[in-house]
Amino acid sequence: MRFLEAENVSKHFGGVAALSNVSFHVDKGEIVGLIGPNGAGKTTLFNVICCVYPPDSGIIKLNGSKITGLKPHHICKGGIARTFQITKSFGNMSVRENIMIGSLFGKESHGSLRIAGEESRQLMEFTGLIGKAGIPAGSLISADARRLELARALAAKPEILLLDEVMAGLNPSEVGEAMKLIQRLRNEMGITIFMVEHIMKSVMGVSDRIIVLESGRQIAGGTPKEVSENPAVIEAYLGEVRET
Amino acid sequence: MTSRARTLAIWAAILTILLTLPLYAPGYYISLLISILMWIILAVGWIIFSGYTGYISLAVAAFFGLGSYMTVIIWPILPSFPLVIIAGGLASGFFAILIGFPCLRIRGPYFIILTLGLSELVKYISQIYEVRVRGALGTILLGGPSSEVFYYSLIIIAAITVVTAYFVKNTKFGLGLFSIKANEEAAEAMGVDTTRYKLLSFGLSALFMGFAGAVMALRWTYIDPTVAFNPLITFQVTIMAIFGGMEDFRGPIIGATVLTLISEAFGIRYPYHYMGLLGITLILLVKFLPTGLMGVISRLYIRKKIVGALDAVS
Repeated sequence: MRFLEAENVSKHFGGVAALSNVSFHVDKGEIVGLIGPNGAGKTTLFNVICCVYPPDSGIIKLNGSKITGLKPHHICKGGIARTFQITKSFGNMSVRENIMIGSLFGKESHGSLRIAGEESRQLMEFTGLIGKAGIPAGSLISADARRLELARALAAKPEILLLDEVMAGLNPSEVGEAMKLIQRLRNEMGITIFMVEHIMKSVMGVSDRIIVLESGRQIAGGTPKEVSENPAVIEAYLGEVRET
Repeated sequence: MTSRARTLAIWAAILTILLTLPLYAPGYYISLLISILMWIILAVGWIIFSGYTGYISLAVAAFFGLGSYMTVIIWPILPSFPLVIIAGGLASGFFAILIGFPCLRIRGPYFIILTLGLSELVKYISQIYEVRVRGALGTILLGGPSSEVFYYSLIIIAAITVVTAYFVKNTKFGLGLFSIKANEEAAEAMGVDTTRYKLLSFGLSALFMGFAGAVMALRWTYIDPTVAFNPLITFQVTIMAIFGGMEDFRGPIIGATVLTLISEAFGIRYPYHYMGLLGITLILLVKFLPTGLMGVISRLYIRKKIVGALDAVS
């Protein structure tokens, strides 16, 4: 039984096929990268997995049970947490409160503000947000906003984490830190990672497997090496790849 | 004295003065306080939903009026004061949850217009019912309790409302509501059951408005749809909460008190000037002080603390 599995998922927006017959799986403990040119359907796929909207056809299973048709908060409680490509922090709430929301309402939801506060302190330490507990999330600089997205998602105690371009806007040394952090999440905390990323070097560096989407279709899949040598992928990316 | 102890002491002092007031104050002040307490209940009740979730509801009059009408229906059959209050609150609370199912899917200005429209709809339906079906407009309610009883019951209800608003804000429930206000999509993705949270706080908020309506029906002794479902009630409450601040219960208390006193002083003699001035004040407030009077007070307080700390250092 696969951990997260999609079978023939399709999604149209008006006449545009954002996803057509996409099938993939992510096993427990894997780091899987999802790449593709702009408009390939990567964020749409994340939104379908998180039940922001239902697919037109196809099903998605978590631990063998169907999750399509549920609501996003069920998905989070079921063990899938996500970050957003365009950061969606609770802007007028403090950094600490933002993370507390994840702890209070996530997979192991509970009602203790004290425990949530303590977990929030630990995650601020883990993600490098120490000293920013009281700052309104809306006034964080972009790198810290990304850290907060990650900390908040981790507070929900996910089994699998969907990262949507969590490294966008980071400088090269911050990207290096983020890569190490993602590996620690898997190696030390046992969290499965499914990540969309535009920075080729980093996604190739950390992923066990890569899935490539183009115009809503899955054009390739395999180890980073296989994918980078695949002619279809090279063609899709020609003139698009920007090495960082 | 710590700031927490000082806050408690101030509240205890206010409560003591309020509780002993009927022993020595002239009747006029009791009437004035009854009206202030009514507005406090409505405005604090209003922020439990609208202040915390950011969904601006203009259905205050619907819930207030429904509470009043429970008194109209029950009082002639069973004249028990506590019974009509509880019935009025519960009726409004359940009605809110009922209309909340469809309404709370809509956001922003559409939600505001929808709630105002619904409130007016309830008013016209009850008007049609009274004129066409019952054949008489309005009901006179006799045999209500004395001013002191009204006064003390409103203090109790106001206290419960304030304590509820406090606990809702400072628990998991409140953080969930605030996350909906900040970003509903992210709240849902973080595991907050936004639909259930919105419904619960909408119902809770209407419960207190219903309590107030049920009490005031007996106080006013005459109720018809234009009195009970008067949209001016809604606008007053909204203005009071925005004027005072909607972040916690202190804002609407200040807003309700200040505006009731001003309206008592000028509103009766110069009603149109008063309304015009109120409108201009509201526009200026929303434009320049979105956190209300309470926001100004806490900013001054923080500045004083910082200045004090700097003085201590130098």
